[in-house]
Amino acid sequence: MGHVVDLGRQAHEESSAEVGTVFASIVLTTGPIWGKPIWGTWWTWDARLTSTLFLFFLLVGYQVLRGAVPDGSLRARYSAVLGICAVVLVGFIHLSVYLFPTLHPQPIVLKPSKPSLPGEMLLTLLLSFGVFLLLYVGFVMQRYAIATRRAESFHG
Amino acid sequence: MGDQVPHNAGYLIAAYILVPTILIVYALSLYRRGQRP
Repeated sequence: MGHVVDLGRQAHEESSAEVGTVFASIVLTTGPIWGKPIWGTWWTWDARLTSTLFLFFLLVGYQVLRGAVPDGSLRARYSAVLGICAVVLVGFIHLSVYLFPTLHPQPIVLKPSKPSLPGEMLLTLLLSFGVFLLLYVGFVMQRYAIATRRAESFHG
Repeated sequence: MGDQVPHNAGYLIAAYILVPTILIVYALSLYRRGQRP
């Protein structure tokens, strides 16, 4: 192989995927809690829910894979493939409501036309998005520090 | 208006407990891993 593995980028990937797994688990638990009173069901096997669950499993698989492959170069390559699959899946999840019949509504914010959401709901959404983005950045920074320190102690 | 809030309160409380719990548990796990030499 002979590729130089960029340890910093590796650490960033690893951190981001782990925080993503935590956030995905929040989506998959709070979604049903919201769905039960509003839609009358905890879960349905529609395209968006099933693919989101699949994304969660991909992310868990990513963690397992990174722990299971001892060779750094191979680990980098395998996890990159899985990472790309996960990113593609994110786009698919967003578009899934166009492609399949589903309980979920069509996109109301991320769509070509203007967001069709009442102002206060849009503000709440954007505010929450901002807060969770900050949380994500904070978590990744902490996790990144752990990952780079571990890599340094491993490589001497 | 008054009868809307109690109907969904349990779900709301569950979410309000669950989300911070997951975030705090993860933050603590990061903190503990960060402390480890």
